[in-house]
Amino acid sequence: MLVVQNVGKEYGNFKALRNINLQFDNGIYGLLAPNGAGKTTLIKMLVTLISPTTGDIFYQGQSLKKLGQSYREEVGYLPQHFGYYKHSTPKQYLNYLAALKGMDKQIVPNRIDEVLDMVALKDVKNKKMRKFSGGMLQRVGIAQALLSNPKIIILDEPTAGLDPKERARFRHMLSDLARNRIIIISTHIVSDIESIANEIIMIKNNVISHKDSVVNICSTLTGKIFETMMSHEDITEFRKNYITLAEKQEQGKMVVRFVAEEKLEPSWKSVEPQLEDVFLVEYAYEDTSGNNK
Amino acid sequence: MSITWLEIKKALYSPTILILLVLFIIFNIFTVISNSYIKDELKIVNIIIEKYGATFNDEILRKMQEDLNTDVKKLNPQFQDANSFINTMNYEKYHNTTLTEQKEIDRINLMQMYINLGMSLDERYAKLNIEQLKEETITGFGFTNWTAGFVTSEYDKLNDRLTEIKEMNEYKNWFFAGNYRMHNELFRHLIKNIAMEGVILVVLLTTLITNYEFEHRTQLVTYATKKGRLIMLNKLMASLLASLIILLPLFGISLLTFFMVYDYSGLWTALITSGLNWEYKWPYITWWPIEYWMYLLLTITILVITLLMISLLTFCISSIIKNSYLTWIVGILLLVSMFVVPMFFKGIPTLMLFMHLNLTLLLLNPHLYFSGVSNLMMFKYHEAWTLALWGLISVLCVTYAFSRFNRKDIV
Repeated sequence: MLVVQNVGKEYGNFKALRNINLQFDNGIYGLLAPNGAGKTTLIKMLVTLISPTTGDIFYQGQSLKKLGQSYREEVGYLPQHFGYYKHSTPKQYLNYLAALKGMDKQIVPNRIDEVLDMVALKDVKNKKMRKFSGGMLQRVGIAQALLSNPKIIILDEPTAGLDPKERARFRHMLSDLARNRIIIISTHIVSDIESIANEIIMIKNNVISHKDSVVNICSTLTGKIFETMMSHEDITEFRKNYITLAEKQEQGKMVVRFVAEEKLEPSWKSVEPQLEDVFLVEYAYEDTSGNNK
Repeated sequence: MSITWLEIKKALYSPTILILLVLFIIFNIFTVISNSYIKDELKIVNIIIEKYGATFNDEILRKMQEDLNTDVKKLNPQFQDANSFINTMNYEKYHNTTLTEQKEIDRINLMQMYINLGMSLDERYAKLNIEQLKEETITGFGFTNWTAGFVTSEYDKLNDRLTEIKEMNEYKNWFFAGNYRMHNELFRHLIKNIAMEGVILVVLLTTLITNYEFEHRTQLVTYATKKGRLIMLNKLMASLLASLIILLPLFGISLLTFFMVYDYSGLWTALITSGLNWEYKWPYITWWPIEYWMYLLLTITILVITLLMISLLTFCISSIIKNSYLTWIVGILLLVSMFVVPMFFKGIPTLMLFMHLNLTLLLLNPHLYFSGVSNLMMFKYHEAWTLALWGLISVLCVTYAFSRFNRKDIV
């Protein structure tokens, strides 16, 4: 069990995170927030790259500060910006990381083949990475995070650069892995986690605003999401009064999905709230510094 | 695979470092060969040592003169001794002889030069005045109080050492004549060049190893692995080992070329204090009797240790600056400032004295190691004190760098 207790992070006068309390058991956790909200800061604290200014993080009851290597041994991490060595092949790069991860030399060659197979890169394991596309590099990043078969997998924006087919493959892979692992996925792309996350954690104004299952989080908007049809001329005025979540053209008119406290017009059709709706309601009118508009 | 070895490979596979290494070696070989026009004349010393032994005295010099006079008689029966033969030799006569005779004339000339040099040494050594040197140093650098006392005591010890050299006839060792400046050629030119090249390579490879992750933006993955920030320990070890690996061919090939071009076969056990090795105003008066091979070995050892310390200091700067080019500039500026700054402390003798315990002086003056006539590097154990002081500074800096890096967020 991974426990984040009263954690905060300050950079001078700027408070990147405040009073964060979280608990992670085996399963997939989606960390959802817009860019700049503090997701990456939290992630970096979870992988010991940065230290909390206040509070502490515990794994199996012991502080990460004390655990050090024995904690990091259990962690696989894909950062948001995954750097690589242009002149290395995936095999060489993973070999290097295997050494840093303290893996048993006997199992490394097979394990490298295994993880490269999982991300469909086994055929190019001996090719220089400088020739790789963004999606291929991202898959190398995912492979390295899985390399040591870690108990905690922390992925920061893992699907950046992946095409839809690769995203689907990636989600299936994570679902399989999550049975006996903690998987934390930080993203601002709701569809990445909506179908696979056991819990969603949302950060707003540098604090946790939601931590619950997708269903429960969505239920906070039950009865408040509507769809209606209107002319192009009316929509500008409508936007001034309501938070619109989606707008699409249909038969020369606009179909608008929006939030309202209650049904005020007979033409409004109540619809099931989606996680995307919650995300938009939560963040649509907030800039990344956390100030509400 | 060992993490340290993987870190070393980053430097050894760097095209910049490899190209520079090859260029430096080529430059050194070129320098040695381009200055080697005198090499044939130097062979005579090995012939003298083979025939008359490594040391000389009046008896041996007399015997050498007799033998040379006999050789002259054989070449031209009109002459009874070598000196009169040489004095009457002129350009026209020389070119009217056969090639074989010319070679013999050259040999006679050289032999006579070494005999004359040997004979003149007693008189030249008798004129050496350490007191005068002491006064020049004390007034020149403005030493007062305890510094003047310290300098006086060092020069008194040097005077004792000179007396010992004279009494033990240490200066009566055969060596290349001072006018060839072979000690300078090797230590002041070639080895100093190697040291300067070593600085460039060591600073470059250390910054490369230390900053590799930050420059390739892989630091987040690397420092989040099990090894974490402890990789810095491997990086430190890798920097030191990679420095040794790079210095090996740099020193090895350059020196091998030198000793292949110049024949030192009979001179390895000659003492550096040989009176023939008198190149400038003063002969080399080392604090201890040091044979040539030992001097070479100690010089290489001192320079390698100095370069390793530069690697340690570069590692510290790198871990703070995290930019290879900037670190390289700061590192080189630091070394240049060690050379320049002492000049600004002429009015503060104590500080100036301590400022001369610096690594740049060691790098620039390998020809003056262990010598008592080398300005403010003259102090006995100057090299040992400098290495000890900077060893301590390096260790403190490395400790600070580690502690800072462990506390710093990696972003």
